[in-house]
Amino acid sequence: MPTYVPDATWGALLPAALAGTHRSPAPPTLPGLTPPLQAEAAAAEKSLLLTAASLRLVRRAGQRPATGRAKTPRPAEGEQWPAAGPAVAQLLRQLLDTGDAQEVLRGLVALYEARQRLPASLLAPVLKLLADNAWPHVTKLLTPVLGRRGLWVASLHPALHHVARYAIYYSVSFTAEATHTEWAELWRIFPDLALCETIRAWPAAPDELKQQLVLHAWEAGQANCLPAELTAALASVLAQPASLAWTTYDHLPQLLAQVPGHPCLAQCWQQVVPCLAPTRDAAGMLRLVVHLANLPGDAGRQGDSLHPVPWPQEREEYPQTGFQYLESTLPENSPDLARQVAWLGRRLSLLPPQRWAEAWHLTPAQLLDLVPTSSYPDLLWAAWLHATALHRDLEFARALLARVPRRPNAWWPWEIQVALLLPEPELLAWAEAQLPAGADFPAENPRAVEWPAVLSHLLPRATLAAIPWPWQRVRHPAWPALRERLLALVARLAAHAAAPTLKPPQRQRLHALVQHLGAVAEVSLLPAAEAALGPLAAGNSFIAPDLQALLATLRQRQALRAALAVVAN
Amino acid sequence: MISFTESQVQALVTDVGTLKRGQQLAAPTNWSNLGRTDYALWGECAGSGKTPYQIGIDLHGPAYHCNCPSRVFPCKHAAGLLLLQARQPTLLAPGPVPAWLAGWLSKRQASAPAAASTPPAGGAAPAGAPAAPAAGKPAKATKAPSAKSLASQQREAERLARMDQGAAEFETWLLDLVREGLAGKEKQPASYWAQPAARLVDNQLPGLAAWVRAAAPPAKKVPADWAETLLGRLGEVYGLLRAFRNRASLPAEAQAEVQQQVGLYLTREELLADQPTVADTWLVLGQYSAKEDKLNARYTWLQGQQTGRYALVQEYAVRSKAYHAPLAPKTSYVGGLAFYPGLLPLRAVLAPDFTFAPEPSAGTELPTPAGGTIGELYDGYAQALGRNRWLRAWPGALADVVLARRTGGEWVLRHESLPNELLPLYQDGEALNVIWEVLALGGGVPFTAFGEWDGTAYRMLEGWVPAEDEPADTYAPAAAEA
Repeated sequence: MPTYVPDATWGALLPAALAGTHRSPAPPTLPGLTPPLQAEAAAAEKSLLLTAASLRLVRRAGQRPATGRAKTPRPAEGEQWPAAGPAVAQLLRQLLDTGDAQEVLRGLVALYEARQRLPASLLAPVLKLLADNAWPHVTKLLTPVLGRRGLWVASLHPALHHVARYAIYYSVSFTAEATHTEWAELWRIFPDLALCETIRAWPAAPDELKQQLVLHAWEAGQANCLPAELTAALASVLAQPASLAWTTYDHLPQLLAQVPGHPCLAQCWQQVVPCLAPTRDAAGMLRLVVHLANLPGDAGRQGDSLHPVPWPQEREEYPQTGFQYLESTLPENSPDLARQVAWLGRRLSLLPPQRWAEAWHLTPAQLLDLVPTSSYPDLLWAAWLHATALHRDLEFARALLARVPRRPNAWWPWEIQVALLLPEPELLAWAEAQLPAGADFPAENPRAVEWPAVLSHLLPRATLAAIPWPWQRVRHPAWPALRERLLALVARLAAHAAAPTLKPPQRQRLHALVQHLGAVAEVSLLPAAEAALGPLAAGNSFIAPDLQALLATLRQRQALRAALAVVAN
Repeated sequence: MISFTESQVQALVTDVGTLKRGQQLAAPTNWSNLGRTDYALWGECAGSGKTPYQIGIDLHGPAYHCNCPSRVFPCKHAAGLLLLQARQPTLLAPGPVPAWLAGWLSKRQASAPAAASTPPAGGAAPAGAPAAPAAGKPAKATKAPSAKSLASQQREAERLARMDQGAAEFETWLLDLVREGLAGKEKQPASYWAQPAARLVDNQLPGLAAWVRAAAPPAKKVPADWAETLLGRLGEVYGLLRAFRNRASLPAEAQAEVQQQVGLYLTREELLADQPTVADTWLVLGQYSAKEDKLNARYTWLQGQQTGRYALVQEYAVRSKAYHAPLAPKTSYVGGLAFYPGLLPLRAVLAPDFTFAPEPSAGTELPTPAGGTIGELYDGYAQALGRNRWLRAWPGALADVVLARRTGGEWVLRHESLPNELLPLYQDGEALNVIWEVLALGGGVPFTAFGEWDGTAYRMLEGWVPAEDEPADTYAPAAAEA
C-alpha cells in the first residue's frame, strides 16, 4: 500500500470514470495493482474500480480531525427555583411515557404552582413536547419550570427559539430595554405586580408603553384607578389601530364595554340608530325593521378600528365573533350585502343592548320578542348575544336564553358565554337542560350532536383554566358543580353502556364525554369518581377501559400533587 | 439483590404495545400477593376472569413466567410487575417463593449452563484501539464444527451457487456502468440503484445489496463531490464482490469476513456451537435503531470491563415486534459473548449465560468509560481499517469534550484543550435527541461521549455528564391493597 497518494491520481481517475472507459484512455492505477488484471476481460473497468477503492481506503484511513471555528455555547447560569425531587421526577416521567401531552402539561402546571423546576433529566423530553405542541401562552407561564437550564437549551434548539425569548419572564426585574409586548406579557404572567403603582412610579415610561400597560390593566379590571390614563390610551389606540399589538386590538370591544361613556361609542350609536327601528306595519303589528340603505356608504368596505380581527389558531378556546356565518344565510353573489350585514352586526355588538330597550321604551323581553319580525333575525340574535356577553347584562341574558331559537346542529356564538352570566343555580339548570336525560342518546336532539364541544366551553380544560388569562373570567364559581353534574351524567350513561342497542354514534359520544371528564376533573373529584365509576370500570362494557384509564389518570394526578405537597412542606 | 430501574425496564420490554399495557397495569390496586427474593419477583394480577394471573420473574436473564394466554414475552403482566418493582419496590417484600413458582425457578436453575470461562483474547485494550486476537492465533473455532446433514450441505451448496450466479450478474451490471460512465448518474431515480440491489437480495446477497444502496448518491441535495464518493464506493463494492468470487483463495478470517459482508451469516446456534465465548462483565455503552430495507435494526455497543474489548450486537425485528436481546443502555451484564469470525471481530451474539448484573450497591453508579481524544479515535479507525477494509464503523469514547456549533448551525464535538480540532456529528433523529439530552443534563460542561465513527461523522450514542446534586425527598407512595 503506498504511503502517499498524489491528488493527481484522483484527478485523472475521475474524468475517466465520468466519461466511461470506452471513451477514455486507460485510467491511471496505483503501482502494484494492475498486473493480475491484465489477463482478464474488462481489465480497464476493473482496474479503475479497484484503484478507486484503494484511494478511498487510503483517504478514509488518512483522515485527520476537521479544523475550523466552532462556538461553544456559554454554560447555563445557576438556577433560582429548586429542582423537583426523585419521586416527583418519576411521576412526571410516567406522564411523559403515556404520551398524553395535555396530562404532561397539567403536571407541569402543578410543578409551577409548587414553585419547583424540572430536574435536568426531564428537560430534553419536555422540551421536545413543547417543540411538538403549539402552546405559546402556556409556555410563557412555564418558563420558571424549565429553569435557566431549560431556557438555555431552548435557545439552542431551532424549534424552540420562541421559548428562549420568554427568558424575560423568568426575571421580575424591570428594565427599560424591554419591548412593549414583552412588558405586557410580563404583566400577564405576574399579575400581582401591582401595575398601577408601577405606572405611577415610572413617569418617564414612554407614552406608548404606558398606554399599552394601562389597556392591559383595564382588561383584567386592575386599572380602575386610572380612568384618565385609560381614556387617553384608548384615544391613542383608536387613532392608530395598525400599530397595536393584536392582543390589545382584539379586546377593544371588551375595553369599550368597560367605558360606557366613551366618545367612540357615541359615534357608533349615531351610525347605527338610523339602521334599526320598530315600526308598525299596515296591520298595526310592531316589527323591527333593519334599514341597510341607511348605512354609511363605505360601511364594510374599509377597515376601521372597530373591526374585529380573526382569532389566531391557538385561541381556539375563545369563541369567534360569529358574523362570518351570516354570509351563508344571504343571497348568493351579494358580497356587498354580506359586508354590510357583518358591519352592522359588529356595531350592534359594541353597544349595550339595554340602550336599545331604553330608546324604544321596551323591556328586554319585549325587544327580543320583535327579533323574529325582522328581515334579518339571525343578525340581531348574534349581535345581541355578543353585546349581552360583553356588557354582562343579566336581564338580557335571561331573556335571550329563553327566546333565542335553536339552531340545527349548532350553537349560537356567544350563547354559552351569555349562559355563564347566570347565577350558579340558573346556570346549572340551563346546563342540565342541554345535556341528554335518562339513558338515551337522543339522535333527534340536535344539541346532542354538539354537546361534547359545548362542554368544552362550559367547562374548559382545567389545565388551561389554571393560567391567568386576563381577558377571561377563569374559575367560574359554577365549575365544581358542573363537574359533579358531568360525573353523574357519565355514570348514568355508562351504566347502560352494555346495552346491545347502543349505536356507534352513541358510543362515540360517551367516549367523548369520558374524555372530557378526564380533561376537566380536578383531583378533589377522585373520591366521588371512584365511588360512581369504580364498579363500572371493573365491568366488561366497551366503556370500561376508558373508565379505568380515567380513574388511573386521576390517581396519578393525586399522586403528583401529594408528592409536591410533601416536598413543599 | 437484583433490581431494575424504570429506564432499564423500558429497555427490557421492547414491544411498545406491551410496555404501554404494562404501564396501565403497574398500579398497586391491580396486584395481590406480591413478594420477592434476591433473584425473583412474583405477584398475582387481576384479569377479566375470576382467578387472577400468576406472574413470576427470574431476574437472572431475566425470564418470565405467566399463566395468561399471551404468547409475547414479557407479557403485559410481567411488564407491569417489573414497573411496579421499579416504582414502588417496597411493595414487594422478601418472602418464601410460592409453590406455583418454585417448580419453574428450580427447573431454570437446574438447566442454566455453567458460565463460559474462555480466557479473553489479547488482554485489556485501551479504548479506541482495536482488540487484537491472542498473538499468533487466528480467530478460529477451537471447538469442533457441528455436523451437518447431507441435505443441509446440499442446500448450502445450492445457495452458494445461486450467490455466485448473482455476483456474476451484478459484476456485469457494474462493469457496464463503468464502461458507460458515471456522468448523469446522480440524477437517476432511486430505482436505478434499488433494482440491482433487489436482484442481489433475490440471489441471497443481502449484505452486498446494502453496500450498493449505500453507494447511491442522495436523491436530494446532491453534494458537489458526489462523483468522487460514488466512484470510491462503487470501488469498494467491486472489491468486496471480487473477494467473494475469489473467496476460496482467501485466509480463513478474510473468507469469514467477506461472507458476512455479502450476507452469508452464521446462525446464532452455529456461532454458539462453533465459536468460543468471551466471558466478562459487559457495559452497554450505547444503542441506536435504524431501518434496513423493511426490517427494524438495533445496534448495541458493549465493552468488556476486564478485557476492554468492544462488541456490537445487531438485532432485527419486523414491524413492531420486540427484539430478542434485553439490552438496556448504561446497564451492566455478566456472561459470555460469541464473536462472528472475521478480520476484526466486533459483531457478537449473547451466550446463554449472559445475564443482567445487579448494581454493585445502592448509591453507586456504573463506571464512566475511559475516553480518549479525537485524534486517538481517528488513529484507532485507521488501524481498524488496516485490518478490515470493509469496516462499517468504529466505536470510541471521548473524554472531556464539549458540544460546539459551526457557523452553519451544525453541532460538533471538540476538546476544551484543543479548540480547533472538530469532530462532526450526525444530527438526525435519535442522534439529535442525544445532543439535546447531553446539553440538558450538563448545561455545557465537558463530558465523556461514546459513539461510533464511520469516516464521515460521529454518531454520538451516549453522554456521561458529571452528576449534579439532586434533591432528596421523603415521599412515600400509597401501599397496595392486600
